[in-house]
Amino acid sequence: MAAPNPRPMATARASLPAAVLVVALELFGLLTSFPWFLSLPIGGAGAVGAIVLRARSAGRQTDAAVLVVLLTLGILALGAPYTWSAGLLGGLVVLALLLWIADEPGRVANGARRALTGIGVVTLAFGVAWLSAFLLPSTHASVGVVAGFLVAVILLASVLLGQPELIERESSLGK
Amino acid sequence: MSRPTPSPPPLLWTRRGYLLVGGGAAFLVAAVIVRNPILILIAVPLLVAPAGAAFTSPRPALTVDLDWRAVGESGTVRIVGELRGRPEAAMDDLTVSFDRPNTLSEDFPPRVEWLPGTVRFELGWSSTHTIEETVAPPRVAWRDPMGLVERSAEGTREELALRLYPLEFPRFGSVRLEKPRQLIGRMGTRRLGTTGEFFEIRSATRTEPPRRINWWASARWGRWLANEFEVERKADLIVLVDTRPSALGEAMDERFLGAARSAATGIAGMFLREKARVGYAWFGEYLEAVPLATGRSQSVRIGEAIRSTHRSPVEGISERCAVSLRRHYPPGLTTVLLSSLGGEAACDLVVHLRHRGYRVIVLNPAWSSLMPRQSVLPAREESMSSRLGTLERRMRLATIRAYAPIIDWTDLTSLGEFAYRLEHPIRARA
Repeated sequence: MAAPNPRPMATARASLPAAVLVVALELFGLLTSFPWFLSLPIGGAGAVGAIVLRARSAGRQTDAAVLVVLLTLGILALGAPYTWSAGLLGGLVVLALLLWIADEPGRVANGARRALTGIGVVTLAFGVAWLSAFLLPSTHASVGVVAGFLVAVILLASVLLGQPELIERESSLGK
Repeated sequence: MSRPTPSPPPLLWTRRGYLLVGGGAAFLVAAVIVRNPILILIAVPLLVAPAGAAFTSPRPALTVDLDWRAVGESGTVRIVGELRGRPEAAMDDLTVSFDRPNTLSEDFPPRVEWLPGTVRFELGWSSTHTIEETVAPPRVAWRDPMGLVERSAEGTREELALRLYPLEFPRFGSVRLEKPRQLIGRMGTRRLGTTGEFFEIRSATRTEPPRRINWWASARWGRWLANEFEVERKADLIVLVDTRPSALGEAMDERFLGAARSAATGIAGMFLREKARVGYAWFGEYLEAVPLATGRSQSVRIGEAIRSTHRSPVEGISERCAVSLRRHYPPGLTTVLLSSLGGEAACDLVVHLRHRGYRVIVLNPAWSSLMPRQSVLPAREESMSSRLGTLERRMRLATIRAYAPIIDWTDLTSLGEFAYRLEHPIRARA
């Protein structure tokens, strides 16, 4: 019987999630109230800088790269108007970021595919928040309330998932 | 009746998980300050991400068994191993990290490859001197693909013993120590036993042959006593290791202890083979001791004690060691003191041991031999520091030589100097 082949490893080269991250940040930058000649370089520099930082350190500086993306997103979001497209693209940037960090160099390839369940839960939460903010007749304040409830419910679910003895009680002994 | 299943290890957030949640919290605060709900919408996926990652954790929890072994030659150590886990799909997200003992240097970074259901690894380490080390099993955990949460894997993972002994150990059969000091009033008899002249009466072991039992003494004392004969007994020996922190620093202390453990194992083994009684003690803050005894079980006892000898974080008083030693061992015994002599306290220890009546032989590894191969200093500064270290050590040796003979252990792959000094003893100057 032939020996099984080793799993391919993710590399630091540019990949599809990296391209998605750059495009999402650039589009979000275009929707902000900053002039395009300011927002496009900021978004591009942030995304490309993070990608280069992670690639040059072979994945050891991924946390620093994530911080760079979050700072860039924060700067751009300060000038974002309250419109459905800006809200949608802001969330998509975070989802692209999650997809990108799932494709981490030094780990088994196809991490983004394995992370789809987790990203799916995040997408669902963001989708509910976005829909309730823009499609329901509500005020700005209700966005915060809905988001707060959503985060609390999902955190509670994850706590229960982390401690299965709380939800998987066995029948008492002797019964 | 079903047995309750043990709960799996807790799911922990990684640094990246905290980073994302911290970022989400910052976005929330900023949203309130600048009154922009877009920031809240961006914060939602950031806050939920670690919780979402937890949903991908394997059910049931990952169980990983370790199978590893070490091979080596002339100072190099190659460790190869396999981690087999269940469920198989979760093995792709396994993270492995290795703790390298300070006594070893790294030849190449760990090579790890993931196969279906298995993770193989190879470690390349080397040592410039003899070692007796216990390598902790690798830390194995499942980490979600985004790297936000992780959970330690269960399963059986045992430590790995690394032993690199001096070359002379197999040839140490002819080494003899001087006989212990005769007790006052004790007379040598002409009665010859099975293997020589009578030496003393001692407690009998369970497997003692009937011919060696002293029936008269056993009847009088009400417990089993056996005769011991001179020819069996070459000498009594104490191996004492000074594990106190020294001025050389933690890394050098660890390297010294690696060499000292190896030397202690070899010296104790060699005298136990000669049917001598050997005791082992180590002194950090307090003295820990294995009493004098002989035989195979004593070899096992000493081996376990040597493996549990580690650097003490607290420096004990030298006199305490000498006083405690008297509680465990009679005075007059030959005591091999393994010390780095990295501080004034180590020098005091020799003096106190002499004052308490022990015949001390200091086995001191040269500091330059304990240094790693790759130096962080430029060549000129390295040479200068080496010379200063040599001068400092010579001053220490000169001070101690007045109280005890010193074996300058420069070639740490060999104990030839030690064996030579035992056969051709040198006396202390005082």
